[in-house]
Amino acid sequence: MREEKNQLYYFLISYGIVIALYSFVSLPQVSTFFYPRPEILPPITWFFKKVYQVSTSGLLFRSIGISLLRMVSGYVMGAVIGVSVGLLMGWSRKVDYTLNPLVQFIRPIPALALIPLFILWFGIGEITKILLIAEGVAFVTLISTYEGIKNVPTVYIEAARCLGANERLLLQKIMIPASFPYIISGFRVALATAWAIIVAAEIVASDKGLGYLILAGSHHVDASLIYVGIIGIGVLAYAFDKFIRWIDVTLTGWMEVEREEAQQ
Amino acid sequence: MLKTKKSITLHSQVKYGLISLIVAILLYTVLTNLHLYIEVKSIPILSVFRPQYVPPPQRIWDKTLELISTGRLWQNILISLLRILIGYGCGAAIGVSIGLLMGSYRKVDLYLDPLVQFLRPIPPLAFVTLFILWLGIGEISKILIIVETTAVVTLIPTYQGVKSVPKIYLDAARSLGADKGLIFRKIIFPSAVPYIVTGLRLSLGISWAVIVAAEYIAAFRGLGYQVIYYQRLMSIDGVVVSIIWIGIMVYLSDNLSRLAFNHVTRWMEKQRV
Repeated sequence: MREEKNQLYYFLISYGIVIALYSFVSLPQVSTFFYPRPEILPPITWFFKKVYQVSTSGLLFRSIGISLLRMVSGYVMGAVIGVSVGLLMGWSRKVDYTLNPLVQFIRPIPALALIPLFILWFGIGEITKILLIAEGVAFVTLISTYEGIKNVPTVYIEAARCLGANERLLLQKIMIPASFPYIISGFRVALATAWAIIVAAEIVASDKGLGYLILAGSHHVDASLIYVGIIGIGVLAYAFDKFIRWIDVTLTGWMEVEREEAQQ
Repeated sequence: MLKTKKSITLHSQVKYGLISLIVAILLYTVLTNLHLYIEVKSIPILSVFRPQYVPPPQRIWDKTLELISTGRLWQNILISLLRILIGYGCGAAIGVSIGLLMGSYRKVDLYLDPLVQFLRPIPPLAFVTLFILWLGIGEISKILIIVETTAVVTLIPTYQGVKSVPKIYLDAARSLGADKGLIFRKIIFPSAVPYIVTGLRLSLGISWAVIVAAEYIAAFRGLGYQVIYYQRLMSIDGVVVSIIWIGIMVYLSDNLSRLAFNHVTRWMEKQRV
């Protein structure tokens, strides 16, 4: 109990100091020393006003909705492909050896780097962003699923075979559950990748969405709008990550693995 | 020669891998060159392989030669690389030091953790436009993004590295009379090194992705800019070649850093990445 109370205390102090410093720098007298316009280092009250404006006009919710829609569609698509191919490759050595060169060739190319390529191929619409996210997520989940399957202790497999398990049972009851920690950690990394892709894609292919808010903020020299975008993304990304961590604990709670370090 | 299990798998690995690679390349070459012989547009499935969308290998090769001979490729690579190195250097220094501090001193941890947890989930690219607004469109804003990226990505594993030192080492050292400085230098830091190295390697790869995207958004030089340049010209050859070179640079950075770090940590048992 005492520890918890102190945690809140430190939380308030550290944010308090940052807010105090920022308030000082954003004072009209001080910010005009650096920049010609106060909107570049706006006082915090302006940020709250902007949040109000953007919420009541519906722009905030429309942007969040669009970004989420793209993110979730792309993520699900990518995860399904990534996990299935990863399972396939982990399971069958022939598939592994055959597909490996292709995977190793595309792997070093960051998903973010493909943005202009996809734009040339698919235009600047929704499909492009969804496919980009799907590509990024698919590769991350593929590799982590593959690692998961490959790292199943051979003891488990041999024991199951000894006891007469057929291949389907082996896959279902042993290999997949044993790879859960890897697969789920892959999901978490893929989530971060997906957020990075959606933000970059929305800034490069200026459109609607939270990333576009960030872009608009810089075009209209309105840092408060940028703050709204950044904090919006941060909150959503944090929420999704917490959600996946909850799924992780629920699904793998029965495993005795030192996950405290892995949880970060 | 006695075939060991390992040599059998290596043999089949190479066999399957090589075959699939050669088949893939041949298939690609054939499909992308079909347009020279038949009216590809009329066949729905094959129309994907029009030269404007999927460049034939010979054009990829020509474009690469062109970029190399005009020197543009090296210039752009160098610029992106420099931005990364400077940003990575500063960011890693900041991230590792703060990580070490936070891991070693509970007070520092308690004060700084809320701020770290705030920065963590935010994709670094979200800050690009903000930094440009604050610091202009020049080098500083891009380097700063890399600093932020690297600092956050190196901080967390470093912190975990310090925290994961087995208590028994610390207790043993203390009971033998070691002072704090000695404990840190000889026990905490070396134990944390594998974690730190993991963070350093991870952030290098991420830095490449981030700098490329930052250059897409706002740059006039660099590999990322090169991609955008060709995209604006609707030149798929240039785009594909530039992206391939980005992949090459990431691959090289990743492997060279792996070798370098393995060499540096060679005194550790099996801490290979």
